[in-house]
Amino acid sequence: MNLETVPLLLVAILLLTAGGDVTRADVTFDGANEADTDPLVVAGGTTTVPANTTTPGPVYVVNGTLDVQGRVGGDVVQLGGRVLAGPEARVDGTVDALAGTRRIDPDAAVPVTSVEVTADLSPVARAILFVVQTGVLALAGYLVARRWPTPLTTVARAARRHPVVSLTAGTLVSVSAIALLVFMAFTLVLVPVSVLGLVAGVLVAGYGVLALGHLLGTRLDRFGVEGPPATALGVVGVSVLAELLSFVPLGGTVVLLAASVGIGAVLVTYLGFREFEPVSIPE
Amino acid sequence: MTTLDALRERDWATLLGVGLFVALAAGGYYYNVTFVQLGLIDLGVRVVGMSRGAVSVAMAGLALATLAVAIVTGVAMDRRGVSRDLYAKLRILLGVTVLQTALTAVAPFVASELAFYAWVACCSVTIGVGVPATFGLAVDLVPVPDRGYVAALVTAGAFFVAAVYPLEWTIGSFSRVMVAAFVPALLVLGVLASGRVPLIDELAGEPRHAVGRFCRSEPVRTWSLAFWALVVLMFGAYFVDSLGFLRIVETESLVLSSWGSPDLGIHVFIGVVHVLGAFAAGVLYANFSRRALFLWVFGLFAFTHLLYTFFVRTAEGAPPLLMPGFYALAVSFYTTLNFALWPDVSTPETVGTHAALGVGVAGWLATFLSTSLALYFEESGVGLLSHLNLVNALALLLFAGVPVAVYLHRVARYARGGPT
Repeated sequence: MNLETVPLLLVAILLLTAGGDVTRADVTFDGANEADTDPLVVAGGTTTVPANTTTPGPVYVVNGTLDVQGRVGGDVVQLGGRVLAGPEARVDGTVDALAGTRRIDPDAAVPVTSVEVTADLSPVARAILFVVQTGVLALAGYLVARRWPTPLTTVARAARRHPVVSLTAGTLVSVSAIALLVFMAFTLVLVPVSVLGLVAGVLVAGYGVLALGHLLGTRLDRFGVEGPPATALGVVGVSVLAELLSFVPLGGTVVLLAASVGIGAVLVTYLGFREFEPVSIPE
Repeated sequence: MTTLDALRERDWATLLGVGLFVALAAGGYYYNVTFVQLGLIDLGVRVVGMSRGAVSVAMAGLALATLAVAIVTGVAMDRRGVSRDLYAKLRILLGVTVLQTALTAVAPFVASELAFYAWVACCSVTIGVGVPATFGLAVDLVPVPDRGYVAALVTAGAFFVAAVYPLEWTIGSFSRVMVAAFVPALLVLGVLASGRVPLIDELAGEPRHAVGRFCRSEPVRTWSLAFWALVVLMFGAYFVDSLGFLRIVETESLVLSSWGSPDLGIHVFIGVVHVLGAFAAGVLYANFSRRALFLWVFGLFAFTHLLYTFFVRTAEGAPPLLMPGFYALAVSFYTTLNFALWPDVSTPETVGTHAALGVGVAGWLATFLSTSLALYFEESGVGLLSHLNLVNALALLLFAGVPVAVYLHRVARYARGGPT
């Protein structure tokens, strides 16, 4: 399962349970599967609705492939992945396509409502999105550095002085937390907790990015830029660096590792309220 | 001097010492997790034709006998001063390796139940003697600040190779691998134990890394709460692992898609997770209190078994790799802790006894009891789901028990008017 799939998976399960009458659902992650009589979330692999069979739906596609050869009794909501429909395919509701790709046979009775929100963006749109995203982060960096300079500095210091410890703690907690959140979502009852956890995770990761930006910003004092403006500029630097790295092979991994360092630094310093001091083991 | 300092200053004796400890401990653990734990089942069931229950009883007997031999050896080593003598420990290990080479070579030819039991008895003697002798080397060879990282190297090395090779869990393939590894090891150990290697001479004499991390203010006594609390916690880790794994490994749908898979890629994945887990545990051990590691160990086990029970309850077919991945992570965590902990609660006067009690009671007794319990469950008709539920409950109990025990310990200290 891709890391990017996790939020979409949680959103899909949240939408699925929003009506309140769903008590079970099938989630597929890999391999070849056949749709059953339960509501379905396709998160990986290929799930087929065989010819001459009916799955009641709804079906959510976040990753992998949904191959409809038979009939879907309800709606299909596509947040990602692929939807295929053969000539005999029939969807009683609609295919609400928000992202991903589709190949619908012209003879299929499959009504599609397409509202592409994450389709391939044009370079200009992508640039605008990046500028907005970076601007929001920089503003957050400026405000946090102004309001809570000491905790931010403490987190940044932990990331600089103890990168390996921060990386280890950040990676461990992230991996465990993602698995735990997805697992909670599967219980359906804990979906709200899972979504709250995801929000908390995003905030911690964001705080980590601000701390890395602050760290970079402290290097700007030689140019006469200090305090909150330096942090904001540092955050811009981190954001630009991450964007540039996404074009380089393994750059994504480097960005992920750096983000883990940030998350770990936030955690080992208790959100920056306590200096991290490793235990002392004299020889 | 730490290992990094030694590397910078080209202190070959220290580097050789660390390398030797890693090689011996990783080799010994690899032998244990592959040849003894998996090879013996194949030998008993397929080659000799015994029932699985009878083989499990023999393995439980091996665990108990190993515990007894380890304690006798460890106590004798400490009382006779052998734990302070590097050459004596190397020579003991040379003897153990000679015997294990012979035992390993003849294992595929064991054909009767009597021979099988005799083989198990001899094997338990070699392992029982080997455990305190190997752990005892830490006071001579492994700098105290590096013990977490060195333990991580041992764990990573043993588990990565065990996960990747051999893929076939038969006594024949295990035997060939082990004999091929033992022969050069024998030669190297023979040379090192001969007393004619100047670098080893530099390491011999008074132990260089005598006082363990947790013995700095005062030595941890054998009959103290501090020592036995650790033994109980490690016992819990081994017990939870063993009880869960014994059932998982017998469930074809679970094991054929993970540890027993014919796909090398899956084995490499599990091996890499072991390496990453060991590294993470090493970092945590060196930078945090041991409490944090125990919490991670029990938390990971609880979560892993929760995943398994959830999967068994709701799904069919092959489980996602996430599950063996988390399992491997948890196992690497406590194994790393195991290799660093016992030397760190010891001095040269106690390292043999503490290693024997620690590894013996926590490792072997836990294996014995979990094997017995698993057999009892099987005979009582306890299903897979109920079995894993129990393991999960135990892991959760231990996970919750650690902070509660720490808290109560502090309450008791403050009540006695101790430092705040």
